[in-house]
Amino acid sequence: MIEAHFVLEGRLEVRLRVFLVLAVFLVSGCSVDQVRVEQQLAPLPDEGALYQLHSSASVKARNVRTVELRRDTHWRLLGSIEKGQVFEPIDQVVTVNGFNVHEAYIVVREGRVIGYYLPYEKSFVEAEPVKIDLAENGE
Amino acid sequence: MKYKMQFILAAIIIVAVSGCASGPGFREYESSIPPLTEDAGRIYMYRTSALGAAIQPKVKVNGEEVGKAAPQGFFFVDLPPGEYEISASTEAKRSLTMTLDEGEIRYIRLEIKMGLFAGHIKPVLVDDSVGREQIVDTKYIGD
Repeated sequence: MIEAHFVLEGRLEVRLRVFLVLAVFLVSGCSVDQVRVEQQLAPLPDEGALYQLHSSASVKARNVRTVELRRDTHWRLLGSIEKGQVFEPIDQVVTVNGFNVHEAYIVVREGRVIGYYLPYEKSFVEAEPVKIDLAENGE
Repeated sequence: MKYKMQFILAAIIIVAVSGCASGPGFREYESSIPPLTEDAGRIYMYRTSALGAAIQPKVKVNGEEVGKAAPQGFFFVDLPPGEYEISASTEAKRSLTMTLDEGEIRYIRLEIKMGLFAGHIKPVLVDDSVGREQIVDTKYIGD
């Protein structure tokens, strides 16, 4: 009888441990956020030129949802950060969407989107480089 | 047994419906919404889903309470241009950081997400066209 009691207690303990490990895993997994690097935006002295995206593109970054940049959307050149030029979307909302959500602009270098600029956090989030067809309006 | 099941089902429906917003619908209320002043922007916040009706946390803008996340409800806030953090807390705080320009109108959908012990409300910035389309199915819960 005593033995049976110990076996039962042992099983409960194992279950409790498994539950706790899962709970910790779940909670820590939920709060994984993207890596951000502080960056200072150097804005253009005047309002920047308007650009148009001529083909759609998918931007992937770690721990956040993939963002589809839609064809024919418009973008305004705001200025630059150390990593590249910063374009603000005019007719599409772009967010870095993980556990929390952050409004984002795209950062472009040598014809590729290389990440996001978060205007609230004044930070850069790296993405897998993806080529985009962004041309100044009228070109 | 049959009556017991019917009673349980009725109780579930009453609880679900009683948790939903009960004000005027967006289309009905739209004409009462004041025009935006020159020096402000407007943020509409709405929740389309009736799932997790018992979970209705306060919605805060930069830490100040502005409304609550009632199922199928909407409200709006007019704010000076700037940078804002919109948040809702249950067992965990979920937030959205964004900017607001003068004369700009933005839409935030309050989504219910699964949590460990209780659901979370996640504020998500959506395209204007999506917000305008979805908000018409909600009811005013401001004031």
